[in-house]
Amino acid sequence: MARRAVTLQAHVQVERGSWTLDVDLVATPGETLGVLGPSAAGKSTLLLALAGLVPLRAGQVSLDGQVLEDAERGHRVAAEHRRVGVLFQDYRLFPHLSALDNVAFGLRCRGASKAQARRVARHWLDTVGLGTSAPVRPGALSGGQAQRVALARALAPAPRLLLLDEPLAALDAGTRAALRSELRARLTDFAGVGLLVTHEPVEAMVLADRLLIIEAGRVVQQGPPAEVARHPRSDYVARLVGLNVVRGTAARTATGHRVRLPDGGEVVAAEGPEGDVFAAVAPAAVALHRHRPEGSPRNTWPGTVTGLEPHGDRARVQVAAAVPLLADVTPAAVAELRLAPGVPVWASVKATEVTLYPA
Amino acid sequence: MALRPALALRPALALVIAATVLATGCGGSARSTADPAGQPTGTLTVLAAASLTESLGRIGQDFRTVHPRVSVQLSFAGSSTLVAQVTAGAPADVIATASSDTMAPLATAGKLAGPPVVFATNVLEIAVSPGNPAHVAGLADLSRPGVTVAVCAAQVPCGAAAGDAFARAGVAVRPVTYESDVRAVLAKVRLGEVDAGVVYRTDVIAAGSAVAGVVIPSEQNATTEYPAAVLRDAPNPGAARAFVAALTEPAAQALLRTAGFGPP
Amino acid sequence: MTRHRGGAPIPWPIAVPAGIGLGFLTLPLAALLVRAPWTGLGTALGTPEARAALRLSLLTATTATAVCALLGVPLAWVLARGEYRGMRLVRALVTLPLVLPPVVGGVALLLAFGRRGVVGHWLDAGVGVRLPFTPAGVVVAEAFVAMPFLVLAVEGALRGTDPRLEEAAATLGASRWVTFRRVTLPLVLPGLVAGMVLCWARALGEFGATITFAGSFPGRTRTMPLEVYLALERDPAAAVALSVLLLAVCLAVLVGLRQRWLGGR
Repeated sequence: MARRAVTLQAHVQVERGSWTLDVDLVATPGETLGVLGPSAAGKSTLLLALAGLVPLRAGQVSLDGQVLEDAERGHRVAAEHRRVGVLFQDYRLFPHLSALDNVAFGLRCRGASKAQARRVARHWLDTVGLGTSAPVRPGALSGGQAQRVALARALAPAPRLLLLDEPLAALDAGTRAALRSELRARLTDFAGVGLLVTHEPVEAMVLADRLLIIEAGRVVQQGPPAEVARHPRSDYVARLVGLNVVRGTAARTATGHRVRLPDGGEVVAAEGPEGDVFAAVAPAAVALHRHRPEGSPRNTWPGTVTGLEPHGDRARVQVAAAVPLLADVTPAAVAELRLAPGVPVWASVKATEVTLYPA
Repeated sequence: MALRPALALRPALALVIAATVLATGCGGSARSTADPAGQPTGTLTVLAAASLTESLGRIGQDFRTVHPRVSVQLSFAGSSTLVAQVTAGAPADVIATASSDTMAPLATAGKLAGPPVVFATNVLEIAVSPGNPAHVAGLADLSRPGVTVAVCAAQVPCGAAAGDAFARAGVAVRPVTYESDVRAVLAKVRLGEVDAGVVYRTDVIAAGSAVAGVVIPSEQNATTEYPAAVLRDAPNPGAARAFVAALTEPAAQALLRTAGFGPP
Repeated sequence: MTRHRGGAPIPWPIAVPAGIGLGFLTLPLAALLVRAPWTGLGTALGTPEARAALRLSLLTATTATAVCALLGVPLAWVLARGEYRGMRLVRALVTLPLVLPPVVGGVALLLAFGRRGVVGHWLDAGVGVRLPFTPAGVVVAEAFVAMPFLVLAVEGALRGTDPRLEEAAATLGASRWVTFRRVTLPLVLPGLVAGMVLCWARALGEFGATITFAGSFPGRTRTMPLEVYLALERDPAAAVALSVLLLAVCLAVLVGLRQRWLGGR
């Protein structure tokens, strides 16, 4: 079967009550785009608009050279003609059809005979490991099984664009991990464009080739997951990847690379660009002290502990200082410093641990 | 006690009315048949053939004038329906049907207090829409193709009489419907649903300008006689006897004559 | 003490009225069976009039149900999914034949479709079609009184369907018609069947509108209820026999369908 390359180009503007979704995106063949953002940011709306289930207020969508929607010209291809596969968050399997007939549904709609459609459907069910569940009705499937049937159903008609709306959200933690790798395999094999909406950063990192961060209906950052994780450009992303990030103006001075913060504070870095920058510090690089530390760290701030929770084999401490900080310390340090919410501490960061990148 | 006006009823509701009559008629002390002066009092329930609707209504009003203490309740339906009701035990004082044949089963079953009294006769007439659009001149025209005819069902006196008349005239008529009482036939003619209906002369007169009548010559026509009888289980036998007697008196007879009924 | 599934007994303030209600409904039917002329049943039912009436009743009731389904399902769809102003008025109009006395319905049908009716007069003059006094007229009368049952049942079933499933079908390439046929319709089928059964039973039992609009002619417009009514005056035993037959037919349909489609316990 020849792999056809497709390209997705979309400028999507959708009115959503009090705010507007305004997103520009391009995706290349074989790519999986991960759309990440806080809830009610417009991620699902973007997905529904691309699927043709929600009309655009402005903008256009073109897939593989074919214009699917052009709001200015009033041109709109209905959802059923778009060759776009959707995996809904609630799966939406047809309760009156067996798993096999569910998967065969899209093929039959495209004109395949019952026998032919069932043959292809059986192949897909085998691919997702549910060959024996072919005659089972959705009501008798487990959450993980239903998800896989829904995925097979979306992939069976060979769509050009595959949209996944929080595909693992409805599953328990154990199933989620197993299905994540399963999904990864399917997406790698998929020749078309994949677009995955999620609020789970790990899911996005594992499954997506490129991330699109959407906040309040706008794209705030895009790029490969590793890049986004290293250089977050907004509080949301920073919190998501667990980095301390502030924005300021950097200038090279005699005493070092100083980043002036809007509220007057200062962060000292060892090196980096000048001008409008983000300054990022890993939580592991933040040291906590009872009293103001002497010695090398050029960055020290007083603050109060506002939260404390286990984080792997460490403890993640939230500190309210000039900027909110996350610090990873050993449990021993927690005991030694007698850390608890409300306790005053001093946080320090070495200049060499501060990463600067242009804003 | 207020006089209730005569009620014209569809056969389908007649049974319901019989039940209501049962409920209202059993007013306890209202059932006394005579006051100390020997005058009839109480409620009087009369079941009468549909063709008697207007006449008996007026006779009932006159009866009330003469016997102010009696409340006359009239119930009209096809004669066969009335007989079936009495057989099933409907409470009533007097029954008046449109043929003696129809009343016969009641006599056989011993439901009558005494022999029936014939108080009127009637002949058939063809009812047509005003202007006679189908140009019906007599019974022979009823068998013409394209002419729609309504008659009563065979068990109703009017229907049996119509059958006799057709036999006498030697015509084979195919009606489109066999109705449960003569007023239903009349209604179909008035609504213009059928070209002609075989009803009684009195019905044509009672309908006034709503229908036109085509007279049936007497050699072809069938006559029917109207008997009235007091029921054996009448709750108010005194008033019942008075009512049946009143039917043959000059005042009632004059009313019946005006309505088009023949002498008994 | 009666026990229901949970194991706890039904409290008597509920059990007693419920029992009386059940008795009220079943006693007349039981009386019918007790007083039926079982020995003469065959002869009473074998008469040509009885056979003709039964054949006519089954034919017209089934045809009326088909008509109701053909017209009523789209109407139910509009009521369930339409978001137009005046839906409440439409629903009230659809429900009207349900509360209208059947005889009144018959009179109204005459005024609409009778020979001098609003629509009837040009049906007669222009196309030569006459509805009164024909089996078609019986179908019209029965459909008129029975359609609300079907429309309301199907509307209820349609309201219970999930438009999200229809969205999913669209993404799989199903046109609106295919979605309706392969997703919506199968899911409303139990409701549709229930509505059709109710519709059929109501059509079978219709009397007032039939006799007023279609008249009474053996084999043509004299359905079973009309035959029973006439027989009551002519031959009460025959009337009871016919009633038992009607009861048996209705029971057979209800029991047969309940198991397959309505999933009754």
